[in-house]
Amino acid sequence: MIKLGTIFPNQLNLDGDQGNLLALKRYLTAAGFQVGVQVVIPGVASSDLNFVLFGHGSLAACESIDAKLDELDWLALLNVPGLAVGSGFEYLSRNSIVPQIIQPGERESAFQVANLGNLEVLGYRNSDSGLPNLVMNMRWICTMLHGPVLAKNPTLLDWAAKAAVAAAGLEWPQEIPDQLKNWIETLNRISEQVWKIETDKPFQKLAI
Amino acid sequence: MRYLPAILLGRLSRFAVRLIRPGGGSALPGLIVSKVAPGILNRTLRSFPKGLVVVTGSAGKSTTTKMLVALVRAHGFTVFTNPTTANIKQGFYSSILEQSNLFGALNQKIAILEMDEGHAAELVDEVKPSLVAILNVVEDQLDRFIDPALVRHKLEKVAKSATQTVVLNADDQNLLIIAESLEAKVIRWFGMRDQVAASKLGYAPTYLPSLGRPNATTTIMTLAGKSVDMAVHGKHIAFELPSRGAHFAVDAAAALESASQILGKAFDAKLAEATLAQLPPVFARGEVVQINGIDVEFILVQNPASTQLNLDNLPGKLDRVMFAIGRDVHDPAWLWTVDPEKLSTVDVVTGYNFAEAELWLRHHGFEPELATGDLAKAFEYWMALPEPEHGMRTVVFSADAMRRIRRMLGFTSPEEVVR
Repeated sequence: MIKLGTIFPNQLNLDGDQGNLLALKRYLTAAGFQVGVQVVIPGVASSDLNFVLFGHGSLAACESIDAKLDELDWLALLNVPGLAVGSGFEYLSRNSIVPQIIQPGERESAFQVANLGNLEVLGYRNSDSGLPNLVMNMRWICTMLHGPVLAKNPTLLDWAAKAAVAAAGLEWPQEIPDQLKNWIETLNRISEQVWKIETDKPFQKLAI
Repeated sequence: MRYLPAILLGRLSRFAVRLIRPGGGSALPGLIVSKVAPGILNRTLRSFPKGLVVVTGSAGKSTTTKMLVALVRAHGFTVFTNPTTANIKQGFYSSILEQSNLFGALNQKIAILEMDEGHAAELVDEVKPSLVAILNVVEDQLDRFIDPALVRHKLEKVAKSATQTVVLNADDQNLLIIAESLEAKVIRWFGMRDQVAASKLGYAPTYLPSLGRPNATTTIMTLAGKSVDMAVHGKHIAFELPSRGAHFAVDAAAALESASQILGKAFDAKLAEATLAQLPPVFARGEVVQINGIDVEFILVQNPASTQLNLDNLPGKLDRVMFAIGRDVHDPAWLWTVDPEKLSTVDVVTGYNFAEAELWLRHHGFEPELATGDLAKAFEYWMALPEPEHGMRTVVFSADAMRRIRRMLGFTSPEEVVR
């Protein structure tokens, strides 16, 4: 069983960020794994999680949970792979949990392509925080590209899925199940279309 | 005489545009008039003897405005209003161009305008409305408005500008917060008696302790399908809504409360009931059209709340559905906040953002037969599919896809909608 955790999902889904969990669950299930989802709130042990999502919320939502977020065991959470999106990334920055610093500037509202090493990732940025579009902090992907960024970027999704599998102490299947092959083909086909619509940059297909 | 050249220039450009695109041509002429005679808007909006009424909020503006205009006209008032597609500043200029005489003058008794939240907040710096009706705050156009709290601030500014009355939704906590800042204003409320149903209308959560619900003077007492029963200042009104869903009942309640405020003692509940019972839907809001003898229902979705509500109110199992998300949706990520469970099938996905929509649908287990950005090809393919065994052919679309599909089918006038 792979356990996916999600921090205050009802409050942190302003731009469909919880879709990342759906994308991850669907991908892992196609790969033949059993997947469970657990809400991460203060007081509930989160050490056995294998992946954590920290989504984006409205100003009011963030204000309402800010004190509760402070109670979470961030050291433990950052030891498992995770994805922080938008206000989630901003919280980590504001509390010096990650080294990137908020530098308010011009708001950018547009699709952008960000780099993570050789990997190019497409998503929508709507922020004036000055935080980078995409960085790794320990085992976490931190991004200002909100919404279902994993669903639109199959290679990043594959990386996140394999990280969760490894964190669970499981092995990625040596032979890719047909169900996963078909799903990767579907994701590649659709994501390529999304990229064609939103950017001139070429889409990098996930190799099967 | 001052505005004669601008009106002539605007009408000439409108004539030229309509030669090229039948049914279109209101945006450019409006833009021209706004550049040549910017002062005509404020002067016109200040000229109505019974003042200016602004209908605003995140969702339901078109339906509420259409209902309110029908109610006020039924009571014998002449009304200046704007078409559904023209709720921003440029659209107001187009409406003046459309309805004024050659000198830019209008002779209606009252203006009732649906206004985009952002544009309303700007316009009230110059023109003070007599009555402001605010429907709700939902998570909408976040690429533009950024956050629901910022929308609330804009609407608060609009509410404060009202010289007489503010009409608000008693079931939206955002509007209760706005009301707290309106100290000296006359505030009237509308809402639902069924608080469970009201809680499902998708208003943006405030994440603050709930404020006590004020007493509504217009209340939706019962709603079953399209049949609605309301109490308006103690008078009973029952009629069939033009479209399915509690959100349309709330729009009707807002219109009735606003009408009763505008008309005062002249408000006739029986006349209001008869008027709303005959009113057709606003185009594409549950509008049923015939295409080559086949009935097709059009359902417009504009944001997470309206998409969820419209999908939740679909009439049971549907076999033939086309889903189209157009260019108006700048960031389609919000689709992922919507649960499409009630959408039993999707045959075809289309519109500018077809790929994002397909990605979302496939993650929810849907397997559309065709996904393409080519609306004409999509529609032709879909119409050639066998007749549905359950329900009517249904198109669910965003505003841009709706406009393009309607134009493609030759539905160029919003007023052509029948009940």
